[in-house]
Amino acid sequence: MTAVTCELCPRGCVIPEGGAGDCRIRVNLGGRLRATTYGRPSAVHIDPMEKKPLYHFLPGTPVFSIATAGCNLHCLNCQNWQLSQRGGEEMEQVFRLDPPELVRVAREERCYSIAYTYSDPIVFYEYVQDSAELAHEAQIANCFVTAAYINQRPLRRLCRVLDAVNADLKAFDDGFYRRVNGGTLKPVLDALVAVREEGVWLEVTNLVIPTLNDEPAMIHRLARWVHDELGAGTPLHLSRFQPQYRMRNLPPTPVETLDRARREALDAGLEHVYVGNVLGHAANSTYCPRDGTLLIGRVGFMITHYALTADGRCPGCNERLPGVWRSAELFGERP
Amino acid sequence: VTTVIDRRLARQGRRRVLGLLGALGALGLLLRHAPAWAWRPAPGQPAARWPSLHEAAFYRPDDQVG
Repeated sequence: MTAVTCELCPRGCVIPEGGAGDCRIRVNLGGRLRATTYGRPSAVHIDPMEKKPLYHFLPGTPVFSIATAGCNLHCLNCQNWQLSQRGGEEMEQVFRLDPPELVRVAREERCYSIAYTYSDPIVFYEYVQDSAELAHEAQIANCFVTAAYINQRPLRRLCRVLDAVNADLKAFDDGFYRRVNGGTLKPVLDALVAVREEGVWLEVTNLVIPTLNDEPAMIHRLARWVHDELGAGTPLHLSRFQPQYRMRNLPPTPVETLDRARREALDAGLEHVYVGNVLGHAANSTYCPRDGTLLIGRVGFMITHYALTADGRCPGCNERLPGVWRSAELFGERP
Repeated sequence: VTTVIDRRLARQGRRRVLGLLGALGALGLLLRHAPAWAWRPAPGQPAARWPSLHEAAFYRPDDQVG
């Protein structure tokens, strides 16, 4: 009997023969670790980019979004728990979509990007890696929507084929990670810095949960860290919590709490702080940090106003907004 | 005469309501299973099967356990 140690994420699961890791989908068969959901997504959708949320990356474009079962975190408030907190054998639907087929379908559906999302794509790492390489050959971008609970070596290798990451920084408190998510904070912070160092476009999301991580001081520390380590131009999405899964005892986040959190983040020096999951909120939209001009107006996932120039500048003051505004910036002009 | 007409109208109404419910049910079923139809395997290709048992990256033998 040979056990194996999975070195993909900071859990470092030691998996006995015939057993599975904490994520449920990486199993030890005969002393070799197998990824059991490779090419077997259980969620396949075409979403708007704004749903990821990625507000400074190819805005308004459709993104082919996939996920398999499994996750390496166990958040009490998970909104995709039917997918993330199950193994592949428990899923009602398992599609066969191997990497070449995935890229072909994404192209047929005229998607500019593929998003690895919904559950945490870290656990189907090999599927992401192979698909992303093929996607680049077809001039399709790769978006990785993750909680970033991953080791440095696999992350840096994956970054070579990623174009955008939305990382969920769940709180700026290690105790919160341990109690609510079953993880730890430091590997997540290290991963965010690594993504920035590797030159991949990064946006950060923080779900504001009443009484658990909505203290202004904590939001300020989080925003200050993003400012200092990732840059003032890094978009921060402050999202509204909705009672879900094993956290139905708390109410939805009051909009005033989100407004207060946004003020804290702006005070910390961040230039693009958004409020998410509140339909029609003014802070869904993008404004020029220099002169305050409305540049991209959004209602929900819809773009209602677009005033950026072709090269991503404010038409009023010519300020260049950080982000990737056209796929030509990644792959050159299409023939 | 009025009663006969009322009954006929009632029957027509019931039929319309049932027809509408049936159509909604069919639409619901269609939407429920649409993704499976959209991504079903090509003819001759085996159906989706779990697991796929692809070799994983980033692991090492651990002889201390097991």
